[in-house]
Amino acid sequence: MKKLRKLYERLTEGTLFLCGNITGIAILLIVLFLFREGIGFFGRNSVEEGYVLALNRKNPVNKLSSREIKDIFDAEITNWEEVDGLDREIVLFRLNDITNYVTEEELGEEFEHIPECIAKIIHDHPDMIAFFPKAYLTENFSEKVLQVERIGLLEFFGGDEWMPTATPSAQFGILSLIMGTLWVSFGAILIALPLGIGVAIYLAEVANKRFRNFLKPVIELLAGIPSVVYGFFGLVVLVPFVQKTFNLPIGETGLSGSIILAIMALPTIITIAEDAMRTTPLAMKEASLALGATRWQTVYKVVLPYSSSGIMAAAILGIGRAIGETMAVLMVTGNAAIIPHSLLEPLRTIPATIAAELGEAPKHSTHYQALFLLGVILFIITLIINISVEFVKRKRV
Amino acid sequence: MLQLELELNDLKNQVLAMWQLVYSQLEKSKNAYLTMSRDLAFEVMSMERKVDAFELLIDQMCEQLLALKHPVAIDLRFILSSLKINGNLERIGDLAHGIARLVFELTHTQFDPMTAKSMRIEEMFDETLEMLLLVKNAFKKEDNKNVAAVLSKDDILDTIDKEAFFQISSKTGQLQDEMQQSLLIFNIIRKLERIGDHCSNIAEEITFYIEAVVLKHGGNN
Amino acid sequence: MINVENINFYYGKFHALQNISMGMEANTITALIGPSGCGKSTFLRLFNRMNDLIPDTTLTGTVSIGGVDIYQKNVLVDDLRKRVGMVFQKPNPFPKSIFENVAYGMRVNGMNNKKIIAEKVEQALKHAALWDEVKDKLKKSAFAISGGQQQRLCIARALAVEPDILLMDEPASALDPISTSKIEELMFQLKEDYTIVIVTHNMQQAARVSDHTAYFYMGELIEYGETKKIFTNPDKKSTQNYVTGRFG
Repeated sequence: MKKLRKLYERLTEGTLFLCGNITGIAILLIVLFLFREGIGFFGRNSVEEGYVLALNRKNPVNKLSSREIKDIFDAEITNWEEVDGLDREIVLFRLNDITNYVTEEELGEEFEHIPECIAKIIHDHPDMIAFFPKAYLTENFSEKVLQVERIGLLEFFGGDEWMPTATPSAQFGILSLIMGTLWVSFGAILIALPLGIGVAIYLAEVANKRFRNFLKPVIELLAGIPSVVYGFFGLVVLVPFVQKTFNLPIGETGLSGSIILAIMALPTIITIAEDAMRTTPLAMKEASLALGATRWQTVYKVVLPYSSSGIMAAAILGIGRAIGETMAVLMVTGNAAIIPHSLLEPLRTIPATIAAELGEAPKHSTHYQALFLLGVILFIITLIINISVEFVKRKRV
Repeated sequence: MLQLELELNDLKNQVLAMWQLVYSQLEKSKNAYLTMSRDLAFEVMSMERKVDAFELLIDQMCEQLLALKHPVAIDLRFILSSLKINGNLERIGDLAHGIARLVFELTHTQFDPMTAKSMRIEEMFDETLEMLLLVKNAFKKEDNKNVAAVLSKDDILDTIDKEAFFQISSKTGQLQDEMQQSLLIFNIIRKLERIGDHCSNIAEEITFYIEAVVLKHGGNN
Repeated sequence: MINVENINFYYGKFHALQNISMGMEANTITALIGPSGCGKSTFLRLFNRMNDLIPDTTLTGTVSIGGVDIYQKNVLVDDLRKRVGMVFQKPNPFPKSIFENVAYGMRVNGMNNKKIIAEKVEQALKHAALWDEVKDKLKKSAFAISGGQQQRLCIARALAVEPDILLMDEPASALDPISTSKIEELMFQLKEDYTIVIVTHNMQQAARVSDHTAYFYMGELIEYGETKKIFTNPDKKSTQNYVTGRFG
């Protein structure tokens, strides 16, 4: 009998050990996958797979950055001189422009002459830059294929234009996204943290027992509401309200995003902080009161310092929720990937970006990898916050 | 110093004060006998009340110390021996009082130096006083090195006491006054012998207190 | 100095203290003894109104300190608690440094003159016989010292506000014998400047330390008198049964 029990215990131990390890490994693998896909991004250039840019053979320019390409095709750069070339006006060519140069008959019945036509067109126009599918590149292309610079770190982190679907050169500058994320998150924290801790103090120290027993479960319930519901509420109630109050053209702003996030983070912050505060030993509070302190003095001199690590845990979880929230924010902030100058403008956050675009990005394209990289950045931001809070916690003790 | 130590010191001082009183009672009764002085005898007798008061006080102090302080080890032995020494001192005082009373009632008789010398009464007085002083100092200094001396002095007293009996019975053909004086000497000697016994008891108590060794009735080792 | 008349105290419907009247003189140590649950802690907490923190309690009768009824409407509880200090059963220092623990009471009262605070902290620690042991580590956490030292720290903390009365609720019950005897010695010295009321379930401690003893049983005051008397020849048989250990 005993042997059987021992065997059973061993088996349970082994299973749990295995499960624990598998879980850990799984998490690790997910993170590694994230990083691998993300880091791969920096090896790519911004021109879409399967397309090329070509120049006339005689054009001294060999390489262009993605920004320069974009500016050229947006007609912001009009002279080759601006990109270290000759002082000649740039001539743009896209595939649709082909009919400006050749007739339909020359293209052929089934457009089989396109490659030769393109090659000839480029040859005839020394100042031309052409953008067309790679498939139309002739076998012995006599002109120059442009090298596009790889996307660098500075361009990625410092660029302020996020246009992953632009042609010919997509823009992957995430500054606006980072700013958007940070603005909304900090706005949310600014609202939620003081309010959350204040309510927690009220529940833990001031409210009478019946009221607390009623309110606490209600708040805990709120913590479980799916974020889409909050987003819906935000869209239908909050956004018009903000629009009216601040007299804005549209109500979808960073402020709305912050408020919604704050509302979502509040239940978490309140319940955890309140639990932490209730663990303050009664003896300690009595000691303070017995020395002549008022109830409020006891709260901020004894209860808060004692439960500070719990309050910080509440803060991290609340912040974590705020930063990682996707749907609700997406619905309410207006989705504008521009650097915000105030909270009363639309903006877009990193999670929202990932959620909105991942479905559309072709698998393993540059865009796809850029989104993964965004995920990595989000992961790192959260990691930094958690580590620094751990650090602060250690220091206090 | 601990509160307990303070109170134990108080007790000790009271016991020593009582000791002082009893010693002077005995000394004075010796002088009363030697001078057959009625006044001195009366002085000794009137000290009796004070001695009794001391006994009551020390009893009460010991009771309270035991009830309130729960002493252990040497403190407990100290209090127990103080209690017993208290009793012994009171009896010694009683006996000294008795000697004085005997003298007081016979001051119409004459001091008989010859009989006094042959019965060694003065020597006995001195030995007894010395015993009392030795044990007092032993108690005061918590040093029982003189216990043996005290116990052997008791032997001397026993000897004198035994001889006194024979001496007395050999005295015939005396006048009544002379007889009374002789009997006085005899009675005093008996009392002094018992004082000596009490001093020996005290010496044994002190040994118990200081070394936790029981000497009386053959001891516990 | 302290006087109670016809005190009745209820926790809800439970009649915790029944018709108690007694008085305590200044600069004495009074011990409250009795079996668990007899109401002695409740009684003690009347004097600094700590029972106010418990909901649904009722008090009838008068409790006066220095002739003033402390349950009158116009009495400020915070001020009362500065005059009547309390030391609890388990040492409960704040999670702050030793210095800050002792200074807490003063800071809470609005004092912030650094020099005066430092002086009073030193005074209080000396008064509690702890100064020599901690003077080099005033900035260390209060949890870095032993249990006995922590309890003396709590005493210093209570003394720092310079109360008139010190209430001690089983102050040594969580401590080892040596710390206990240190605290008992301390009480003899404190007696000169404070009036002390101590609750203890340890009769021997009550006998060692107090001038007067009150024996409580089931919410009633059975006997109150000089400690000498209670432990040598109490009036009531029930008291005698309790102190001799024949009780229950």
